[in-house]
Amino acid sequence: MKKLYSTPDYKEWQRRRLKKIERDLRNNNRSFPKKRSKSNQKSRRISDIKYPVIAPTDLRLIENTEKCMEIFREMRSEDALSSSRGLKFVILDLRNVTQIDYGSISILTAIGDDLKFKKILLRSFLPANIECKNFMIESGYLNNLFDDNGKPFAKTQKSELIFFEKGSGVLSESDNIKISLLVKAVVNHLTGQSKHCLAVKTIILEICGNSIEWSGTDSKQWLLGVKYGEGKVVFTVTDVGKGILETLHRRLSKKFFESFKSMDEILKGAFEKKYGSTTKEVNRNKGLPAVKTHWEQGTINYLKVLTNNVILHFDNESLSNTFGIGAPRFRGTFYQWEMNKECLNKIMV
Amino acid sequence: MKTISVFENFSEFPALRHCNISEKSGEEFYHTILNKEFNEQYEKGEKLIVNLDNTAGYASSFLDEAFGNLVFDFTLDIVKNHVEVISIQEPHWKTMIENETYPQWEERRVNKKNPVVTRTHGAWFRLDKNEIKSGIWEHPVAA
Repeated sequence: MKKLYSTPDYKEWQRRRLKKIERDLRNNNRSFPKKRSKSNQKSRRISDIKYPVIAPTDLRLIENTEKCMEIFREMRSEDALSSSRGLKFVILDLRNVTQIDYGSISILTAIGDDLKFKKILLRSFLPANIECKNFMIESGYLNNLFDDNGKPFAKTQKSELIFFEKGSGVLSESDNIKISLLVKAVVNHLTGQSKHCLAVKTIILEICGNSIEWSGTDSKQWLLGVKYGEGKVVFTVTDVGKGILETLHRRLSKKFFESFKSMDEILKGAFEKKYGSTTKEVNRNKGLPAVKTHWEQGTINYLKVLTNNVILHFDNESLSNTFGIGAPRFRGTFYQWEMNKECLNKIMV
Repeated sequence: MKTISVFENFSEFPALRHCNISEKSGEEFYHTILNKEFNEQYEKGEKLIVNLDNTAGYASSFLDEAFGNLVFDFTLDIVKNHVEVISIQEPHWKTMIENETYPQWEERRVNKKNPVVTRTHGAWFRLDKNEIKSGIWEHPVAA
């Protein structure tokens, strides 16, 4: 009678024998289907759609700073990150917005660029308010965005009035030339003559240089914005890195920070060369003081700086503010200033 | 006496401090132009005139790195005696170089806080034990 090999030991031996045959056949390059490793198998794609980040009606950075910072923080939070079919995206709902300023558009554009760098799409519902919607379209804000169906918005024509210049990584000579051409265009707008304006170029280089060297963003990106108005030009420079105060925190002691009355005083100190350089080299720290000097000389007007939990209004100190504990912080640094013909008269040679 | 111009001999668009953050940096200007031109004039016992005018504008860090390295390599006294900076369009750069960059880099030299290079450069000149020597004195440090 045939013996029945059904003991557990025999079953285990048989399983191992079959595996060995299978392995040998595969190694001998026979037509034997390769077994897929678990990691290679297509995992089931599960959609995880989060609620949109809903912008307030007043999205003016200078007048409603705290609310704007809240939106910027939410946009960059993990909680807003949706995923579907392998795509990651954040949904921004601007439908309620009835007031928006150039500062907010600059920061939204910088955040959109940063998300794009991280392979995250920014989907956006546009404001229902026609004036706001047109302002955003004209600014070129939509060029990097996706509609609520995930499709890119149609590219808008380059605006005559609002313009962004972007860069990342090493400041290339071509970026540098573009900045110079932009400065020439500004001079042309204000005076009718297209020529270099050295002081304006210096301010932009100092600020963009700070963003490239110290912001700590993955791609060292910076965003320079220019908005032409009647007899004036508004400049913005934005980076979405660590921010000036955060950078200072990393190298100065807690005791040192506590010796100041408020964080806006500490930030003012960075523009007055009160602290040593991050690199501990005595010759450094000339950039931000140079920006302040230009403001003091009237080369630029209405200088405002927003970083971490502080906004400085150089033109009106009573508006400068340190946002309290629990208030949102802006991860990054934002500068805004204005120029008119009188500013240029002081410096043009 | 020889005159060099940043605009004519280097670029209309000088940029930032180091090569690892910008093209046409102060570090590049020093290592490709300023060090060699200065050494040539110094060895002849003559002055080098550096004209800063006619570019599209400077960042302070560009000038600080270029002229600061010169002080570090040749000492403050020698640089003061053999360099003249011309900056008619923006006289404050001449003031900054002479009143801030020069003494600050002399302090670095005395304290042996060596310059940072962010790219490997060809040999350059440095005053070493009262003698001008050519060598690769600094190497980039990995971040």
